[in-house]
Amino acid sequence: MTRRIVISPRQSNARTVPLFTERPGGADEETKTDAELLERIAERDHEAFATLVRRHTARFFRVAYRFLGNQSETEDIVQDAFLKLWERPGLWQADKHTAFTTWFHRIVVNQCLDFAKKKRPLQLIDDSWIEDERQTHEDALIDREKQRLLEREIARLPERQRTALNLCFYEALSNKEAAEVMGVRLKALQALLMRAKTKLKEDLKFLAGGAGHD
Amino acid sequence: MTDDATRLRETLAYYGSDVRQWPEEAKALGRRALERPDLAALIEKERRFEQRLLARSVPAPPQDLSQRIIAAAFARERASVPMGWFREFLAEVRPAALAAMLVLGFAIGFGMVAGSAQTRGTAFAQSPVDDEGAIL
Repeated sequence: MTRRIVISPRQSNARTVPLFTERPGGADEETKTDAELLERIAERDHEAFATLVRRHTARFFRVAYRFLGNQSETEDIVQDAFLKLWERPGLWQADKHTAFTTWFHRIVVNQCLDFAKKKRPLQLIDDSWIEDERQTHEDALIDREKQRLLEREIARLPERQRTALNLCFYEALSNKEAAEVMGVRLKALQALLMRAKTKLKEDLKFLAGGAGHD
Repeated sequence: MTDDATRLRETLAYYGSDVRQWPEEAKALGRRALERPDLAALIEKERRFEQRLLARSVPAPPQDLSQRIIAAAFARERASVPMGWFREFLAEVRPAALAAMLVLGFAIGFGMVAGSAQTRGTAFAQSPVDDEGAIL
């Protein structure tokens, strides 16, 4: 399916600002590990920060979008998370043996949950970004409807079950990593995952009138 | 249902339908399940469920999002420069050196104040005008 992204007003108004002057050896940054970049960031190295942001923005945008379902709010959350990192790089500690991405998942997920709590109890996903070539055809409408129903059912899951599903299934984190992000024990994470999937299977089976399942 | 079926359901929920991605200790169960039609059907059912979940898609982030984040971080840093130099200074200077500099600064400042008062006193003493303003 070919999808085109609708440019939001926020996006089209954005100015491109020269960020910093390239320094010799800048290309080396790309090959550095996250931990190495973070060491440099702690020394206020602009290039290291830029590299880390470029490397992980898309991933954490996806993570946050699955929680918020709104593009501009997602952009704000991701931006805030990275700004927090720039201002206080010492928050991530290499000696605690947590991968940067696991730790940053926790930051982003917590920000999403806090934001969602403050803002509204539940919001269906904004699917206005989908502009499909087949949009005028019936199958595109069916796809869209399926997605809408799925989003609704996922949004209805209890928060912790939804988080477990997002991290393990959609973000492909291992059970152990997801448990670490959520601050729960492995068994608890697996129980959440089990309940989330069981509930979704029941709801989707009900919506489909029993077809395709069981 | 057998114990294998119960364990398989749990394992599918924890690790998904792709047996190759399961932890080593669970793979034996996966291999056994693939050889038994009743258990293989459970795996296939989980796979169909996952396909359904994949209908949920996410838009790509705006192409300039990274750049905006980087620009915002550096702009914020520039905005905080007046205090930034002071923080850097404090981080660089050892506490003992800082204390010595404070004592020296105090001594110089005190010396200047005392010196100026003395000069003022002398100036008054040599003034050619009396208390009521009459020229002596």
